[in-house]
Amino acid sequence: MMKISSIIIGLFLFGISLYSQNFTLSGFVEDSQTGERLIGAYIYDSLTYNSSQTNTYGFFSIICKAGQVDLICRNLGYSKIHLRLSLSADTNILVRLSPLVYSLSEVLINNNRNILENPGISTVILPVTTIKGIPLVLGEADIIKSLQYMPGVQAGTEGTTGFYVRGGGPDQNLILLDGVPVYNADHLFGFISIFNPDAIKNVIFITGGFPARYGGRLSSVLDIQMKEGNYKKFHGEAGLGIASSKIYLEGPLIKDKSSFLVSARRSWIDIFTKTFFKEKDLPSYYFYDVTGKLNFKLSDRNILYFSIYTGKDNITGIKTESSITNESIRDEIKQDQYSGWGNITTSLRWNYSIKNNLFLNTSLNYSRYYYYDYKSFERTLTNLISDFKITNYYKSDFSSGLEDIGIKSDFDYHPAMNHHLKFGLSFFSHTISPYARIYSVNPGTDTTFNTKTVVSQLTMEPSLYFEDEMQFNKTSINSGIRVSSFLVNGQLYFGVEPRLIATYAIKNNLSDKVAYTRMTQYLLLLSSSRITFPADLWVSATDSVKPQVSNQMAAGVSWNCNSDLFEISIEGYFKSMSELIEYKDGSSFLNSGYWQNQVTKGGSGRAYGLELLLKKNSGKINGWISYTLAKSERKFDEINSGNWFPYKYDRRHDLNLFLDYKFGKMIDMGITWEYTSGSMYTLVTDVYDSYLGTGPLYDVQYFENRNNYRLPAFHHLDFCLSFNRKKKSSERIWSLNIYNVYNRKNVFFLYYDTYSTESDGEKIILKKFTLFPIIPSLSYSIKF
Amino acid sequence: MKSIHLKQFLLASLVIQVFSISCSDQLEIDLPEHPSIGVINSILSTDVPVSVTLTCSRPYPSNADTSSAISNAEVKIYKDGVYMEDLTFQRYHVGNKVYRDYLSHDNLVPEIGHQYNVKVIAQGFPEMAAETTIPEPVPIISVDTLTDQIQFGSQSTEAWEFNIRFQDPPAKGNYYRLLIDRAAYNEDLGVGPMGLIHVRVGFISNDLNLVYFERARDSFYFLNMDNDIEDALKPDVFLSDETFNGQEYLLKLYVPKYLFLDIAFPPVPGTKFDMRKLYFKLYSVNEEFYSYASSYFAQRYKVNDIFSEPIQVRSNIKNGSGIFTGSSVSVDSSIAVPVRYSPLLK
Repeated sequence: MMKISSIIIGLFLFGISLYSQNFTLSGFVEDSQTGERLIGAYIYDSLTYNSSQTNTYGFFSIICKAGQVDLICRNLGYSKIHLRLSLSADTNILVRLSPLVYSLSEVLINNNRNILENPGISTVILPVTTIKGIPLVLGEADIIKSLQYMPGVQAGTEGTTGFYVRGGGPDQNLILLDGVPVYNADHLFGFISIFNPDAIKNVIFITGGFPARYGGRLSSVLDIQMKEGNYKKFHGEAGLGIASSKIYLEGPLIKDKSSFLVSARRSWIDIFTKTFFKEKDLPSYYFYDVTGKLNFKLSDRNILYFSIYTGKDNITGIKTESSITNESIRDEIKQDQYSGWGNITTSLRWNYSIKNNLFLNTSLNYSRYYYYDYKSFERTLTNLISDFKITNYYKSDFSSGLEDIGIKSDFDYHPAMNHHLKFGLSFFSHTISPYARIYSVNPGTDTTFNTKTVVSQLTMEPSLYFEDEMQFNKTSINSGIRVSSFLVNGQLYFGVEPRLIATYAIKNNLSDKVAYTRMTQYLLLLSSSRITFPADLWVSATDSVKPQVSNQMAAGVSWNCNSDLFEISIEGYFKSMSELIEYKDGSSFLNSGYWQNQVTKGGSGRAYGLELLLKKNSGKINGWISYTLAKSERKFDEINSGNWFPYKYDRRHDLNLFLDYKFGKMIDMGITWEYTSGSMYTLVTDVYDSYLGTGPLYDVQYFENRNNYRLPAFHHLDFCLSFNRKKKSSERIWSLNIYNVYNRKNVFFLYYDTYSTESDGEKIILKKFTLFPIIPSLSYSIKF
Repeated sequence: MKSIHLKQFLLASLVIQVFSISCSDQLEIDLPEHPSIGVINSILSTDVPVSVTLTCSRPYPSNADTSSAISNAEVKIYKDGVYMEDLTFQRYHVGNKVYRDYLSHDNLVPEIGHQYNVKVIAQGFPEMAAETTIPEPVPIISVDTLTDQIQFGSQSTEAWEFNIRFQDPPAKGNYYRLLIDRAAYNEDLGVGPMGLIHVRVGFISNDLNLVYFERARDSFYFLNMDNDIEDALKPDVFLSDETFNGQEYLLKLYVPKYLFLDIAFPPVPGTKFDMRKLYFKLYSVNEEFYSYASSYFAQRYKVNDIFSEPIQVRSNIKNGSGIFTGSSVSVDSSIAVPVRYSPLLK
């Protein structure tokens, strides 16, 4: 690791030495119609081929020679713009790009596009228009589920938003919403993610070559940027779907100076059940989320943003009251049970262009995830003759969660031509509360037993990073280092994480890429290996549970062919992970007690695979095919006799297809097909007599290895047809979705059951539980 | 008009939601052929001659619920590395139950502190082997008896409280098993010979160190105040000295009195007191037996839990499964019944 660090430091010093005096041309690139700042817009000087890309906040800086500059700026879905300038001093400009009048999917061919413009290795930029075109269960467009069609990403349980990247666990994905970590992205038990696509501007998904600015998770980064809101005019959208209804509004507060955005969704399953079912005491469920953002352009160089997200899922279970009266006794029983989970994230962000070549983003962040579970039972017996009463009750109020407060500053600095430095620091406090229970029992006597158990831990996570991006001739190198630390219970951990991402343009349209990344993770999700649930506990490294560490090597080739009509990439990777934790045999979130007693520590993991992506970027038919060949294994001293065993989501083959076809301007059809090898499952293969009892009830169940059986292949075909109708002031969209068109009965979980026949008597059989048969759904939305 | 449209939309959604109700199907599994596993079960004890039960595993799921004894194996016993004898396969009856075990024809009784090995050569199975040492017994210091009223959920029941004391040796890693036996008159059971037999007595204890068989429950637990006392009865418990190493240990347990009101066990003249006597058997056991028992109990308890991984039962058998271990027993007794017993209850 020392060698790698030395190489990275060397590369940085070499970059500094390239510095020479020139003028800096900097500014922002924005949408000419909405005033939204554009991320990832490519700017280059066609005379010198010096280039730059806008950062997450739409800022760019490019070093140009004095004199004539022929600046070209382009971005996906926008018309290219040429600007001719005569440069005699550092200059600040605002570039406005006009959206293409036709759809993204129709024409988007960029001749002479530099291969180095492609996203970095193991990086995907997913346009929101594409996300909305992917057919999904219940017809709800979803960012995370769309990512599951990308190579290297495995869906967890069918239909859910859990995702497993390159052999990693569900907690190893860093999900950022406007830079704020989100700890649970699930609505409706994970069938819908909390991110409302209407409010999203940009999605960057990284599975391998992690720049040093990202840290804290081992396997992936999902960086979601919210829209800012339209600075020019008021705009809105409303929709009604099977699972939820939603509304989205945006507009200027002060034209060109300040804007707002608000979007809200609410499920109506509870309203629906109350409307159509007369029975009282039915369990009910709802979720809602509200996303809001305010932006103020204080000056050409200062912008202030405030964004907030809040959402909640609530399930009301048994709520009954009953009373039975005999001759002299009245027996009254009351039961109440509800549980839920939710997130709150807020961010106050200040963008300041300190100099033409130095940009600062500072943000104050708050994020909270909570889970709660309340149960009560009360029974009162009344002697109607003597009026003597005896009441006994049981109440349990359980909660768990995690709360983050943090500050971070990120600097972008362009010291020289094609040389870009990023550096920053952050400080986060995490208050982790995996277990808080207030328990009250009265057995019908004068004494009530009250217990309150709260396990809460304050931890600190400061970190800093340094990233050096250089481009010379045919090579682009992003080298960096991230140093993080974690303070818990007086124990201080350090993580030194070197990063190196290099791209070499073999030809103008062909490049090869390599990356090495080391990641450290201090916060861990304690989840059952069989299924992830909102009740899974977030915990942290402690004095006895060490932080998790991964080392990943990735290499690949990227080829833009046929005038960028097609994009082909092939990548291979190897990832090793250490200090993993897992529930001990038989433990799950249903167990109570201190979590450290229920886990096995010091586990190792290894994952390797080959990923292929073939993408068609334009034309009437566009879309992609992705294929992954992968293997992922785990090893724990206390599991499987200390031997390696396949990871639950070790799926050898994973094939995904997405096609979008346009029938004119009004009808759009989307088809997806997913085929993956089945998950691994621990199947009991034998039984034998136990010494401690005889008979079937007492048989010992035997299996040689954990995860010894691969479930049947998982596949489904989904279909989406959208009808757009534009009117003067509005656009109406009807969308028909069919999930699982050929009604494949995929395995959700297995269980044993018995059935009786006259000839054979009672037989034990293995049954599969299928969650989603064919599901049609219809949704309607109106844009105004 | 608008409200009608909304209702139609809601109704259509209802149909779709009902349509999407999950279903379950039998799964055809094409498991690769795998050989049966040899299973050795033997607890060597200082009060009985050596015996070994040898069976093979059955495929699961299977309709066969009978054990599959291996009858043609060579079962060799070694003491401190010295060959002692080949055990002989015998089929014998106790009552109407048939046992198939390998027994010592020389009445070889294990001795405390010695190491024993077993080697099994059976056709169709790899050679199986295991070893164990007979641990030192730990005497029961005393058994104190009290009558008590105990509370379970909303019920209360009368029970005897027994306080069993023993001194844990200073060395770490001592493990215990406790059983309670009593004599019963075998008239109505319809199994075995008429007359007095020993039966196991279930008891209740809240001791957190105990490891025991607990009935499997469904994954989704529902609120229930009324714990079933039958569920709480533990017929066989194990404990480790992890939390009381080297100390005198007090194990508190309760035996419900209603267990003795059954008409199946009337007093027999002259034997009344023996029948109502409880025999407390404290076994010193090895770690391998404790691991086997605790993992087995956990496996049975979690058998229906779809959220947790199946539990592997620990075994010390090389090339096979099961348990070959040693134990030594310390016995004390207490007269429990005359307190409340009334022949009128018959």
